[in-house]
Amino acid sequence: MDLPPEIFNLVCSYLPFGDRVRCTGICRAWRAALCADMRRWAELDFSSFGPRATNQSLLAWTAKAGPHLRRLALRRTPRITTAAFTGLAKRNSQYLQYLQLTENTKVSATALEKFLKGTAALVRLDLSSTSVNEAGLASVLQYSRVLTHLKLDQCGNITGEAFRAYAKTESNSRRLALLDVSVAGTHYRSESVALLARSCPNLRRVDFTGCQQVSQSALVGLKDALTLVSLRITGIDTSHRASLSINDSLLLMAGECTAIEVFSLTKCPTLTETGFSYVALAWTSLRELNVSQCQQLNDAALRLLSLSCSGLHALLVSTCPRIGDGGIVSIIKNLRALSYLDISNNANVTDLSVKTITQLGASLTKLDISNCGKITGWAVRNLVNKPGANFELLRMNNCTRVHQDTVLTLRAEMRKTKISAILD
Amino acid sequence: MPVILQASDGQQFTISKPVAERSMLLKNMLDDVGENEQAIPLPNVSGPILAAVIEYCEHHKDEAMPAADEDDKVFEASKKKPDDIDQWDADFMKQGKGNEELFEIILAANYLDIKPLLDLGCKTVANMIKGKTPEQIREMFNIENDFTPDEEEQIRRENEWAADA
Repeated sequence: MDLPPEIFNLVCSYLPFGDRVRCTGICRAWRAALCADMRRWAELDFSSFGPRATNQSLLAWTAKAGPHLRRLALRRTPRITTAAFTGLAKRNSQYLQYLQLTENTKVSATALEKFLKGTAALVRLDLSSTSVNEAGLASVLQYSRVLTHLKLDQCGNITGEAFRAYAKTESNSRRLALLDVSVAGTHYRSESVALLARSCPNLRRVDFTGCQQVSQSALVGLKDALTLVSLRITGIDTSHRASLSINDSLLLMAGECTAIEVFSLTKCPTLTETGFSYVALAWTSLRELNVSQCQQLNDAALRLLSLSCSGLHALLVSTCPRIGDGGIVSIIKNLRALSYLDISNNANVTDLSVKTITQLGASLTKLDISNCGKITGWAVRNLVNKPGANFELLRMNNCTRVHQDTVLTLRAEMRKTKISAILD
Repeated sequence: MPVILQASDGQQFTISKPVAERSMLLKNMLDDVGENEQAIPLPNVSGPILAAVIEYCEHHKDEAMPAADEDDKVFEASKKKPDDIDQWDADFMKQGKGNEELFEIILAANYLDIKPLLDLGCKTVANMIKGKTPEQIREMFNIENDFTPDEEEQIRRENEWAADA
């Protein structure tokens, strides 16, 4: 092909990684043109090759990028092991901005820690489901001064201790740049939450979903995170003899963190209408709320929410045994921007709720009414007449009073809607 | 005032100013020299290729000029998609154009500095390469495999994991 090298390289910039790699094996001229400039290999994404990506291939191609390596994605690559990262640690990765190594347990915590010491330019780091430990996290906090996104979901070795150590040793002038921290499903502890909030003055999103050690005292700790927009937390343990109840903790926090738009507080048996009212009244700019599996949530709380948080887009109130049609009807009547509603697994929700959706749920595009035993096929059948936007998703698994014939009719009439209606 | 272009084979084309100004080279020239009745010689572009380039510029003459982006973006492969080609452009590139003609259009777009056409040409070639095996690529562009057996072995080891499309 008689194209000058710079134009040939422009052609190759439109090729996915794998195709570009293949182009280096066509002829000498192509190979020379492609390998001449290290920056062509600054972004390496091995994720789509999964188990085919080997240590040898990783080292060969990162060597082609040299110090210019900027982006390295290694999701689900079981053949990438400690040896590769030990090799990488010996090289210069000073420009690496993005690293993803999710679902890989073959790289040891020590190798990761050593590697992370040399990555001062990291902006986004995703080590979910890896063996990274607190020493690795400490390296990140100490050396990656511009890191804004940190994701360590499902990492069994993570407790947040590194944030405590960091707060102790660093002077207050050395604040962290973190905006988004996700440690869902780890052993993160409540005590480390406040230190996280204090070390990161720009914190916008935190996710503690499924962290069993995070209790209501964490909420109090978060009151320093004044810029927080999104908070996800689950299963606040009632056996913790905390000095403050969940309701009082919420009162303390809600008054300070007024910018919250996304809030998820699931599996929280001690959260009552009172605590819920603090949320509804303080966070009027809420866009997404998930309070599924909160046993004491009731219709009065939903009514207050529907009057206070008029901009709500998504509401998830699955498995809240005290809610019924009264609360749902207020929600549908008052929340005119609501597009996603999950009211699954609620025995007291009846056809009246579905009927209200059929009449007034113009903005609704996703609805989950699975396991609502009182809802009948007659009400569901009429959903096709809903005003406004069409449904994108309609989930009604295990609705025992919705006959399969009704589901077939709905599927025929709502061709663009993804309808899920599985019976156990 | 129309602009007259003269291709390498002497063929002349008379086009309107907005069409000519899709080419940054011509735009700068017209800005510098002012209006002139003399033909502008383009020794690097043949008549048939210039005709095709003019057809492209005619079609796009009313569109806003793309903002000049930083050189750096060239390297951000992850943000570039070869698939987002407008239907007219796709048809334009297909119409009885062999590899030679396609490359000549790319070179002309580069010389005349018509960035959208250069990108379109490069995307078209990228789409031809995408998903093909090395043998298919060599055959398509009539390339000889000039690696020594040793080099071939090294490449095999480095590229094995990306061998299939």
